[in-house]
Amino acid sequence: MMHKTTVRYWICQLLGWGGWTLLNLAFFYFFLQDVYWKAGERKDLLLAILFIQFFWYIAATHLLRFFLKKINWIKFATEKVILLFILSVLVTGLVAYYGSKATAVASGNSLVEYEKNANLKQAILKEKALGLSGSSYYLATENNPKDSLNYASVENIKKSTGWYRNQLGVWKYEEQHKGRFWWDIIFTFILIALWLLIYMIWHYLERNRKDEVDRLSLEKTVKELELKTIKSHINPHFIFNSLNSIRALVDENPKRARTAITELSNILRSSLQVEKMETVPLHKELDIVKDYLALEQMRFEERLKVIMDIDEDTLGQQVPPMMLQTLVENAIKHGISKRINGGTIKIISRFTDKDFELIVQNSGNLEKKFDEGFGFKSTRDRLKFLCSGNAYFKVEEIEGTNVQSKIVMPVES
Amino acid sequence: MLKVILIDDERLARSELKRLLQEFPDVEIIGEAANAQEGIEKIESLNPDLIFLDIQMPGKTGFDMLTELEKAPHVIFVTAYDEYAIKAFDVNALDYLMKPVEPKRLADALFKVKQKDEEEMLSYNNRGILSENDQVFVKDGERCWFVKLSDVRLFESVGNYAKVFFGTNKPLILKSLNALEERLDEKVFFRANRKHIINLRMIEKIEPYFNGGLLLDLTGGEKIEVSRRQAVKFKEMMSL
Repeated sequence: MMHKTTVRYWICQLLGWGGWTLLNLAFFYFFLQDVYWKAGERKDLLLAILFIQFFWYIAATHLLRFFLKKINWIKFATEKVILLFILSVLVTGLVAYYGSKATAVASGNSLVEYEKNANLKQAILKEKALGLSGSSYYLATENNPKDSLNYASVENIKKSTGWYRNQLGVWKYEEQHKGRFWWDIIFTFILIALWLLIYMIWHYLERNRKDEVDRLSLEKTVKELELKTIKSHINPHFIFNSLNSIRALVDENPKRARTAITELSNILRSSLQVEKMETVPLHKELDIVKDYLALEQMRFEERLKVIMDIDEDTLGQQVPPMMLQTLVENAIKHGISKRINGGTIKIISRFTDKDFELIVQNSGNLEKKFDEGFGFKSTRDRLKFLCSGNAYFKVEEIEGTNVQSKIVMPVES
Repeated sequence: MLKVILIDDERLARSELKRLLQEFPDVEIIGEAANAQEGIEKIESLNPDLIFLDIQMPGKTGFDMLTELEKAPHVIFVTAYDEYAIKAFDVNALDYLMKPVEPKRLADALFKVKQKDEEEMLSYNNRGILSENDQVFVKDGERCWFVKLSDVRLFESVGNYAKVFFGTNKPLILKSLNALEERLDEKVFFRANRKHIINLRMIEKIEPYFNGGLLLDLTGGEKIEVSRRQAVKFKEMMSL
């Protein structure tokens, strides 16, 4: 099974050079039909030569590709690539040009050779028409000064056909359209340059696209990592304070101490388990929050009051794990724990027309220069990430006596 | 006997500490406080040798409370995991214990306090004048120090604040120069002019200055002018 990119490469090669060959054919057919199409022999030669060129262009550029792949050009500096470009065009152009020429000659399909032969016949005909055949008009120059009729005849025939007789009377050929060679080879260079340009641009674009994909997948990984750290993030300050309270309770109220140990275990366990899940049903999240609040009530005693206003229908609603927990933790950290007489935490969960709302309220005021900490920022990021912008999160002061953080998520139907 | 006050907003945390301290017969708990305000009142009325202090408390933090004290008693900080506070402790070599408190570490900390006490032979004079062996707690942004008054070269008035010069530091404390002057031992600290109180033991050079004043070079390189009126007093003191 060939690699997908290799298949694509060959399709491009065949379509590209095939298209070019067809374009050539069309050109000859429409503009030079008289010369190349009517006479059967020329037409065959033309087709043969176009086929040979088609083959050599593909061979030469394929060789170039092989070489470029081997040296891993894409990593080169720009100056080096430019140099490489020029060199590649020259070498590949020459290979393609001389390769197809040699093949055409060797296989007897050279149109140039054919034309030469045709011209020789023309030259002989012309000689006859001028009444020169049989004479030795081509001999010794002192009898044939430059302005003589004989010399003019030689030049005449040579100019129109390229053929002339040398001193010995042997027919010789001299190409009369020198520009044609240069034109042909430069044309080959241009074609190869075009090919290489497309090849290189393609690869540059491909690389950019790949870089982009790499960058995106990296971003995704980073986000996932962030999620993980949030999930496993249980405030160590809370853990050690709880342990300290439990230790005090062991003598004072052993029964409460035992429940507290269970509550703390639940929180630690769920914070470890939760890492595998993107969302959890609300009732599961509430279990953790209740344990958490029970432990905080053990610490703060009469300073912390809790009110739960949970609509039973919402218990199955999927929520990001540890998100409510984070909000409650913040409410205690910034609200209750800063107040000498403590306060109340109220948790509300309900459906509105088309949204699901999760609200945490706590006594207190928004700090004057309220700076969103890690908890709030990550809550916002997670919501954006999980609900692709359809959910939002807001923290505000209400009635001047409470701070409310509110999550609104669209209800999935 | 070491007279001790416990300051922590959590009742359970205090009762746990009390239980731990029962093992030390030479420690007497003379009071408890649940926040910084109560703490200040208790400290000023009961004058303890040592306080156990929580950092995170409602209202003011433990650090804030200390800066408000005229003079700081020995302090052992007690905190649960708190990166910010632990950094402060380590940088400033303060004594601290982590909750839940390990009895062994508590014993070590108490031992250190008693040792320091004996070294300095602190005389806990009741309120009134601060001796040069007394320490004050100074906080400047994230950094904080217990500074012994004998290490202070100079107090400089900056509005309602006073800048305290010691070592290479000069943090601000929220105290007026006049209030300081009243409480400082006048055998050691001298009001050189309207803006400065200097430590007499930190003078390196005395030069006459125009207008009948004096110019004092302190060990830290500060040059302090003594006004003409104060110069007379200064010469009197020095000639004794």
